[in-house]
Amino acid sequence: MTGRIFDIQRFCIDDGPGIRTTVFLKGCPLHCKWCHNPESISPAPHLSFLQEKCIGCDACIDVCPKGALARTSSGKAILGRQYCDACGACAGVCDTKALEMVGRDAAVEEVMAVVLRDREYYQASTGGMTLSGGEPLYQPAFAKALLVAAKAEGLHTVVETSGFAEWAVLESILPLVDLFLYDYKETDAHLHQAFTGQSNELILENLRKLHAAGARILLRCPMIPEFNARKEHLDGIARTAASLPRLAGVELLPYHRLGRAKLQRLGFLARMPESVKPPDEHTVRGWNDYLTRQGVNLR
Amino acid sequence: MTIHRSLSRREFLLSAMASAPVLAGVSRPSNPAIGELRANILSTLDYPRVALHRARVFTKVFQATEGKPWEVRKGMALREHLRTVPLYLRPGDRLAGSISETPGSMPLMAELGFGEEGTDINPQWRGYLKGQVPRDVWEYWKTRNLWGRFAASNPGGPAPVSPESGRRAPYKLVSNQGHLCPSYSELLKVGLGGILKRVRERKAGERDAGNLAFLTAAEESLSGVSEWVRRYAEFLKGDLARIAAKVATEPPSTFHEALQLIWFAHQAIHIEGHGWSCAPDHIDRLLLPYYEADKKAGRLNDAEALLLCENFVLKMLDNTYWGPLQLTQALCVGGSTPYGHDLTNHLSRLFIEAATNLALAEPLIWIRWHPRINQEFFDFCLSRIAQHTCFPLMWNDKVVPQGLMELGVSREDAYNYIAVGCNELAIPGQAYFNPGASANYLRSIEQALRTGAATFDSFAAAVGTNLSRGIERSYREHMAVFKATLQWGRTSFTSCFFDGCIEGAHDMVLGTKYNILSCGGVFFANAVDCLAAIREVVYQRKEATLDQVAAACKANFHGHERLRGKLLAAPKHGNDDPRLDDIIHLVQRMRDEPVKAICRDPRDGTKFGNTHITKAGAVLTGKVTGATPDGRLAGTPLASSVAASAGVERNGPTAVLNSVAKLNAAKSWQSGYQVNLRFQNSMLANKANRAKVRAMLNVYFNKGGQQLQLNSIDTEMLRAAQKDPAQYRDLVVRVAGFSEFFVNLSPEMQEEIIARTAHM
Repeated sequence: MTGRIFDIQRFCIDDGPGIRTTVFLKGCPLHCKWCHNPESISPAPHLSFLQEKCIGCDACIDVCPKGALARTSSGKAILGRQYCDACGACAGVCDTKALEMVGRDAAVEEVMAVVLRDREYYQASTGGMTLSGGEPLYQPAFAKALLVAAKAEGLHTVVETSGFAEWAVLESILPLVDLFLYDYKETDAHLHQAFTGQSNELILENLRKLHAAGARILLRCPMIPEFNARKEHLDGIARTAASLPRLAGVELLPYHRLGRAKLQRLGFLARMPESVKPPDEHTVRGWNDYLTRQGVNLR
Repeated sequence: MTIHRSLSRREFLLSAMASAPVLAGVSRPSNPAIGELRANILSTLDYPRVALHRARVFTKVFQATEGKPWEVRKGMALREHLRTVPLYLRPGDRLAGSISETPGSMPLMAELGFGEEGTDINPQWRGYLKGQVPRDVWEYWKTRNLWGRFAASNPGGPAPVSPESGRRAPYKLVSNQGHLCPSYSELLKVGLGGILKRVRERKAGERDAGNLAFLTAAEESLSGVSEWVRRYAEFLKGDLARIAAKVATEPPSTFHEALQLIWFAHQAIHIEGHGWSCAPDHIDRLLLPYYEADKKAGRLNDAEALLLCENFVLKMLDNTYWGPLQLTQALCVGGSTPYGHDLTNHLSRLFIEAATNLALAEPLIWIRWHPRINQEFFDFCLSRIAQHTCFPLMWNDKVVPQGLMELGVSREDAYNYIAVGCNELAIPGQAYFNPGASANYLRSIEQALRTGAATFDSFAAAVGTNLSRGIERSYREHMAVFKATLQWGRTSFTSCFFDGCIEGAHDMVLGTKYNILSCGGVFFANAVDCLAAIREVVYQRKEATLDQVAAACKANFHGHERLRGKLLAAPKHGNDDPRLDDIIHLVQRMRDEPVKAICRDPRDGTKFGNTHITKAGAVLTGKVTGATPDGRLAGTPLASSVAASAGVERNGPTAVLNSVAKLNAAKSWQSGYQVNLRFQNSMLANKANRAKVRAMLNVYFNKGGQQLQLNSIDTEMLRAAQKDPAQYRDLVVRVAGFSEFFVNLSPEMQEEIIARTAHM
């Protein structure tokens, strides 16, 4: 069994309890405007180019069938993306990984071999493996196979999901998942459609079913100024939380722009207007206080 | 690859200071008077000032005592110096005793050598002695002091040079060995008077001339120190005068008295000439009874005790010697008994708190991790790192004693080990660190590139032969210096705090309970990476020949970019890569076997320990080291620890620590190695994140990690990296699902990260 991943990151501390290794699965049915992993949306591999790492060996220029690469006067290569079809030939010969394919097919065993290298750290910190993305449930069979393998090794498992998946998929992994990090992106269905490309009806229905089935769920709410950061949405978070009494808690994820560091190397254009700034501490505290007053169990 | 020169051990110690926190960090002294004392001391540490009283007195006494034994003359000279040196006390200082007659000034150790070496890290200070050494002093000593005598007996060795030129000699020729920890437990029990009494009792009826010489010297120097303390009793006022009068001969009864007596003795050891990396015993354990008695009697509260601890830490800072902030003095707290009991106490915490409050680059603060360490205390230590950028540093009780036992130390004594200096180990009063040889991996690899070896095994054998030859040569050189110090490097006062010296009537250089010499090796991680790259590229994939690799290194890879890419793509140590396991063991063996075969302590024939010494020396040496077969460019930093070469770490801290745990610390690194990890400040400032770091470190130490230094990356460091990217090439930041070298990010992104780091 293989699936398409774009990273395996060890010592993750923000993706569930303890020290974790997070497996990032590529491909997502949503395309949130604020996505900080824009390379994760398309299931197709993508060519990343970081000129700073180029040492000017010209190997890529020799192998590119499209003539999309050339050498600049600085001695480093330059990539003309309009001519590139991301065939990956150049990444195959780039030893310094200045050119790199984001997204590759990996076998369950290969992923688990990396995950298991930190088993002692999971045990010491009640950590484990987290599946993230992209949307991990966009590759249901692969995600399930990873969870089965992790459980066979006795690891704690977390799935970070938008909830946009067929219910049968969620139902089939229920016993394999110790904690869901479940996104709650926007209360208003129309706005949800506008911000993420999908309505939130299926997502909310799955959330209710998951809760009713007894799953442990932490609600994660990205807070994006000029998009969903408004009173009505905060009220929606509070209402939803109140309707799910066994919820493990709610966590606000204030907007940050660190994902922009990747845009240049991926050749993407910024999708968020420049005017959208990360909220300051005062604003974030205001949101937290507002929800706490409404009885929300904040993390 | 061309290595222009290798750095001496001393240079590593000095350069370590460059990686320590900035001198003027954000301090929060617990009381304004301490804040003023701190400012007063720092105001005189801007450049190396010289104090001449000691050199003048030693010259006069030695001129007047020709014919007497060398060590007796030293004892007499020390006594005369202490009887006449002008005294002072800085405003607000509640612990008396200074290294010289002028604040912020260092004494010249004329009978050893004129030490301009200590300023080498600050090139602007080179030649600072110009015009300052009196002609007659220089003329008298140039052929008579340790350095001069060594040079005369070792033609071809380092020549005595003008004290004004700023040239350098091995540090052992301009200072004593240092890197030691005297034992102060008997001092506290019987006082200076009690130790003097023991010397006199031992001397009674002694006939042997050599024994008499040592005992006479010890009597002279101990009397001198007592007289010096008594002079303070007259010079000082109020309570400080009373304390000095008492501890001049008697044992202390209060916390303040005990701290003051330890400082007088400790300072006198530095005045006698042991400069580098001297540690004041397990001070938290020694002082605990006094602290508890004072608290019970209502004489002391925690605020007052903290003030005195801060004062003590400031005295260590004020201990100027070969220039400001160059001593790499250590202050080590905590640890366990051989039977697993936690010895950490409330004073351990107070000393860490004191050092954090003062935010100083010196002393270096250490703790000893052990499996039963109080996790709340460990959390407290990690939280202090978030405020102070790297202290406390950590040793592991599960590993260090094993290594010492491997060298013949008893279990009880091995668990009494202590940190001295950057990463040296000692046992108070029983064993001290002393380098006796060094291994230069990179030069050995460079030479082997020219052999045209047909297989990797024969290439590795050639590297091993080169390394072995280098170890033999450096052993000979070290032993020549060592033998000179056996004769002219004796220190009778310091010897009184080392086991067996008074009973055996001999100086500590002639041997104490355990005699441990060590062989140092540097840039282990680069060596592993070089061998791995050569094995993969030359012998497994046959993508280049050895000659091509040599030529590419020589050309700094200009015109060999593709070969460099291949070398860079080979596995790199620090990434938890099983393909390197055999190479790690190969490199350890390459040094261990020749050290075992060649190196013996000339005093008792015992075997050497091994050590790994590098800190910011990685940057300094890197600047003068040519391109290396691991793909590293000329002039760029070398590995700053045994964990990974600069900037090759890709898989995060657990992978780094797993890689380090593959080293056999107890067998191959008995005298200590060095591991650095850098974390963004938020990792340690936030309690939940800190708990995860703590869990990770518990795993690392439990699986055999010997040592660790955590550096917290703060906004200041990121700003510094923006200004001088070459110095910070290995600074990795983890953001939004990827890790990247900070210096590789666009200025806009760097600003984003700085803003985010500042927030957390």
